[in-house]
Amino acid sequence: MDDMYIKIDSLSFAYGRYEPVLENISFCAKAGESIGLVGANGAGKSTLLKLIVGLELDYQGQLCVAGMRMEKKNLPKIREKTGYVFQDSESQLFMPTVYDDVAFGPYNYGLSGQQVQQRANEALEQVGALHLKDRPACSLSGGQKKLVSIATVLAMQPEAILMDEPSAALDPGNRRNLIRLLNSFGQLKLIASHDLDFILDTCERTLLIAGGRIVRDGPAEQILTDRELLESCGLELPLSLYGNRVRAGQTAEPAG
Amino acid sequence: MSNVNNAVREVRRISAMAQQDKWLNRVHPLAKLGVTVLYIALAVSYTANEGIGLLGMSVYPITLFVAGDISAADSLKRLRAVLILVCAVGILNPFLDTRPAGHIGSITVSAGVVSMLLLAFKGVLSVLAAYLLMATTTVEKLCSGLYSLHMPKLLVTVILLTYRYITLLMEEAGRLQQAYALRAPGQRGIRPAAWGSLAGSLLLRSMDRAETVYESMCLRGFNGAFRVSAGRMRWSDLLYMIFWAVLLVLVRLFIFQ
Repeated sequence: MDDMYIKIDSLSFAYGRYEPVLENISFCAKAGESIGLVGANGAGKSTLLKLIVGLELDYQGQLCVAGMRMEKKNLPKIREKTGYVFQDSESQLFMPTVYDDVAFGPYNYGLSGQQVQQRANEALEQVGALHLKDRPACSLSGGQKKLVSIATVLAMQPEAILMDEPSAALDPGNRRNLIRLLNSFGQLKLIASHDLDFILDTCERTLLIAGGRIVRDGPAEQILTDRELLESCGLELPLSLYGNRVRAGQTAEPAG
Repeated sequence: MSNVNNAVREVRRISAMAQQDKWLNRVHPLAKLGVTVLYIALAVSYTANEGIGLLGMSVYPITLFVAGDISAADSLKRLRAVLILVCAVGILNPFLDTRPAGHIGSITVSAGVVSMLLLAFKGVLSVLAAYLLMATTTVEKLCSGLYSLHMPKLLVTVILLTYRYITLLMEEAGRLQQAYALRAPGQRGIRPAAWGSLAGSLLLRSMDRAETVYESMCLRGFNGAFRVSAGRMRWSDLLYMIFWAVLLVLVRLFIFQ
């Protein structure tokens, strides 16, 4: 179990005095894995990701990331190794230019000017956005913003990347591009989404969450093709598994 | 498009201008800041008797508009609301001070009119100087310049964050205004009964977005201080500063006196 990058045992969390958002969550993730976190709206996917990067610390249970217990004193080290891509790219891009934004993290971790420049350029090149480096973030399209926000995380050279609804608001071309990009990463990936096709294309393992609990943990293809299971959790089969395209006024039937 | 969205667009335009790679943008922020502060101090030091000399001070904004390839017409249009306000500062002076100050042909000009015009001109020149600084220097570079002057880190960070969050606030206000207008066709502005709930909603939404931005900064190692480098001051930056300092002092002391 020591090679596990994320170790979570009996984790529960509630916002203030409200009902618990997560209850008795337990799972482990090792380096290099691609894990999809699927569930309906409000299932607790985003909260779980926020707990893993320490944006919420008032939890119960065991939570270890990169071999360190999740607590305030370990946050800088954990966050240096664990990148988080927000659902809303605009919130992630706040510096005057794309380059400044990508360089923001490495600068804060005290790298020299030359190292920062090298890392920022490499990260931008990796996502194919080097040509955008001098542009202000507000002038980018939605797809470009998503790529740049991923570059801001890659520049930190993380061992794990957490993504919240990465395919939201992307057109088919940008979505395909993002899938190709994510599949080229060797880091541990934890992707929260209710775009099940996206999860099917990028993850080999899936955690199905409903009502703040992990309902099933297993191979993505197995869980995402189980119609009854998905429907009991407020989800539907991925569109790619339907034999016919869903058209207005036409009932779609699953292939096979 | 709503006024708020127009304002956001203007802020972004000015920000984009500041990021251009022109020679004036490349001058060290401290050099530009120093010249601007000196310019404003000299411009406001003119008294009513020296009023005509203020014309000589126009050399600075005019040169920067030309050399920096900045459209004066666009700038004046952009600043029209502020300029009107600045010009209105002394609007009561002609009524308060009716002593004759001179004659233009057969018309007697009162001291109040002279002081009103002087105030307005000083205001316009000062606003233009500040605008030219903002149009050629990013806030981040200005703040890094302030860091190097040993200004308290907390103060500089507050300036930076205020600038950042004001844009967020404006964007949220623009969205709310649009959402309201789309469901209130034919209505001019926002009816007073909705102001309270819209202001509350704006506050909550802005706080929400600001928190996400802050979280994003923390996740990338932000610990309360921005690390933006303005670079080292070169000889050319020093020359720029000396040139303008000497020229402006000469204009103040000798031109049109």
